[in-house]
Amino acid sequence: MSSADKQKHGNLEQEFWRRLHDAEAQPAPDIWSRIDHELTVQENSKYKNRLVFYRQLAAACIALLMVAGAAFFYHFRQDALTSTGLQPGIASNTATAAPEKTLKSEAVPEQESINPQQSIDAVSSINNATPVTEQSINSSVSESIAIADVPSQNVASQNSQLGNYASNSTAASFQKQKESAYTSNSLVDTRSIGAPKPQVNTETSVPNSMITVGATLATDESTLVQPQQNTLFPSASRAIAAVPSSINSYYKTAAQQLLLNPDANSNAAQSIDKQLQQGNKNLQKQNEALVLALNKEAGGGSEKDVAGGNSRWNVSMAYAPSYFEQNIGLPERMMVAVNQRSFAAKGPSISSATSDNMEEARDEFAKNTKPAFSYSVDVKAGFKLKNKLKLLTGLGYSQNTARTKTNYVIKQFLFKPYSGERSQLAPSTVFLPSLNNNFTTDSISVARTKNAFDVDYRYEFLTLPLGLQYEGNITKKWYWYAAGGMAANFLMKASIDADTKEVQSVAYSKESESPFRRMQFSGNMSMGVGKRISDVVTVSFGPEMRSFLSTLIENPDKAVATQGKPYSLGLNMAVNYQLGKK
Amino acid sequence: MASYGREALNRQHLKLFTKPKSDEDKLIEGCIAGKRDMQRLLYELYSKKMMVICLRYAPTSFEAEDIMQEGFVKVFNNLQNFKKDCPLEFWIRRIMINTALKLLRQKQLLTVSHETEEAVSVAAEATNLSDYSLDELLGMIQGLAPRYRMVFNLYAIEGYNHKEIGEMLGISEGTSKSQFSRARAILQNMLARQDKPYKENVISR
Repeated sequence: MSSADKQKHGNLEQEFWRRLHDAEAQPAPDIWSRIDHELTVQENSKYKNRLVFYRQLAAACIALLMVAGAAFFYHFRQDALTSTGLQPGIASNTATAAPEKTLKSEAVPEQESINPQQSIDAVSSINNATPVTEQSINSSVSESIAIADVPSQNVASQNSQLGNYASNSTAASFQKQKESAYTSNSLVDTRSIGAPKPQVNTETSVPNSMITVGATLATDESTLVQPQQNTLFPSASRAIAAVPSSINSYYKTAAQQLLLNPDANSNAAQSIDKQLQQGNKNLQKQNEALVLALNKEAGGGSEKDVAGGNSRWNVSMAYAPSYFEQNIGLPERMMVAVNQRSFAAKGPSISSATSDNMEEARDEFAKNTKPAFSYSVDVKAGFKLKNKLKLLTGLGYSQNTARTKTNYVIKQFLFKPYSGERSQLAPSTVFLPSLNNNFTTDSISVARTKNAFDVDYRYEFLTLPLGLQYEGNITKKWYWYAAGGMAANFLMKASIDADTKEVQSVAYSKESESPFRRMQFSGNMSMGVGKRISDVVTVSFGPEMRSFLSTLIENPDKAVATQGKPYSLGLNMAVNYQLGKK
Repeated sequence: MASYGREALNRQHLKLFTKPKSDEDKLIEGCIAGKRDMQRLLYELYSKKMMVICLRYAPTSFEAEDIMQEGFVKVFNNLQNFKKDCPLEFWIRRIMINTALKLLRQKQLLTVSHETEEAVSVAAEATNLSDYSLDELLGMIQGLAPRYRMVFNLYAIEGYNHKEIGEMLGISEGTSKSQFSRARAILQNMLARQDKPYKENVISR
């Protein structure tokens, strides 16, 4: 084709271009109204989406607050409870015989004052056969918080004091009731049947006992509601508002059964147990009904949108192996007072002076205490706030371990008759006694063992994290993330395990008196890369740092040991699942 | 005096930096804010030109209206992403073309080539389309098979090169070229058949 041809061909194009490029034509008049309509529809759906977003955000916040509140509440109520198990490691005066006394002194007046509640409590503990677990208490707390609100508003017309009593005294009394139920299991048969008088079955006592009965009993509301309202509940508030009155009727009958048939106590308990099981099922139904009621309120259009597009919610599971630095050191002049004490040493190497050994033990602790393998497991729910920003919260468990290789065993002796045995065994030379400053033991001996042994300091935490995560794309399949946030860490158990028979392992559970802080906050940071496996599943990994904002020891001022803030470094590996994607 | 001069200069600088917003900027901001009257203004400003574009790409005027509607909704939804690196009209134009492309792809008009028409090479003379009405010209273009129409529009009127067209339509550059030359041959034939009385050069077969 010659250039002349091209020019000619170009002529046709030019002509078309000239005529059509800037040409105008009147569009049909209804096009704008169609556009207008579509834009309006979009705006409405956006508004609905936003509404759903705020509702979900509010729901997430409420859920988090409830869990956190319950955990806080439970945790700090624990302080009122004194420990039943005595830890040998801390040789403080208060820790010897006092707990049992306080336990009794607290328990007795409670038994006198709230007999009717206790009776039902006791029934519940029979039903459960095993003592009420910590978890059930926990959930009962959350239940009590959830339910206590409602009666105070709705039942006010019936009895203005009822609501207040339900919200205030339930919270205050449930722990003690729980304890009394726990300790006086054997007394239940006689007392629980004899105690309640007809006038005691007032409205106030009944909902209380319902709430205090624990996780399984907390499901009563459905059993109780069932006879009155079998169908789905129209709305959440009405459903819950219906609860208290029906609870009363139920508990009245239950208590009357007990009154009428004192001998058939176990039968009655069994029948209650059955009803409770049924109640469990009914509760599920009720929950579904509530969810339905709430969703209906949200509107059908928004549901469609959520189902059609990407949901804002995702769930993730993470595992992070890590190293934990507990940051507890020992002072230069550890236990000067020890020198002045009598050395009732019985150990294998009595020849070396205890004070010298103590010094060496201290050095050894300083040199040989290293981070050990620790890990954390998290289940988190993520809520997309913006395109790349997520709010993350959930529940986690972390086990943080540090380890010392040591040669020394400290023995502390009480002047009590059992001083002959190794009653106070501090595994890692100086660690355990250093946590407390008031040595009240009669004598201390520091002995060197033949073989070195490992001492593990293990701290198990229940964590409630709350954080933000930002994500950016690297390629289509890969992305990066950076996350930061805070976590409330509840110490479930602190144990000091020694790898030798000479040293007794020590563990502080939640109930026992412990030198360690029960709850502390940590700042968590992590970043890394992730890969999209499919539309809904992503995996990610990257370094993670958790830095505690306070010391492990509750009263660092009172402890001999120098205290730093612990931290852990780990590798976070997570699987994320996007909810409700097409 | 000197200080006064500096102040004046500063004020001038300030003026430079705080350039008053043009009407178009205000229009765009209003549209982004979701003001319906502003959106209506923008629509009225560009709808006539866009209508012709839609008519050029669509097989029928029904489809053209659909493209128009979908295109403008897209414009309003994405106006906040408009970077102002080109005139707004070009940006809207591109959205219309892409919408048309999408619609034709959805209807699978672009994947299958129905064209069996033989392009008869016509000895083309200098063409003058001034005597043809817009409807006639659009009719001719709409008369082309979808893929020919697409390639012709993109190349001759939008000014894309064959490589770009190939990427847009998922065909090779050569295919784009050959389809274009067929399209223009068909158009020439159409023009020849029209045989306008005032045409200077009667096309001989």
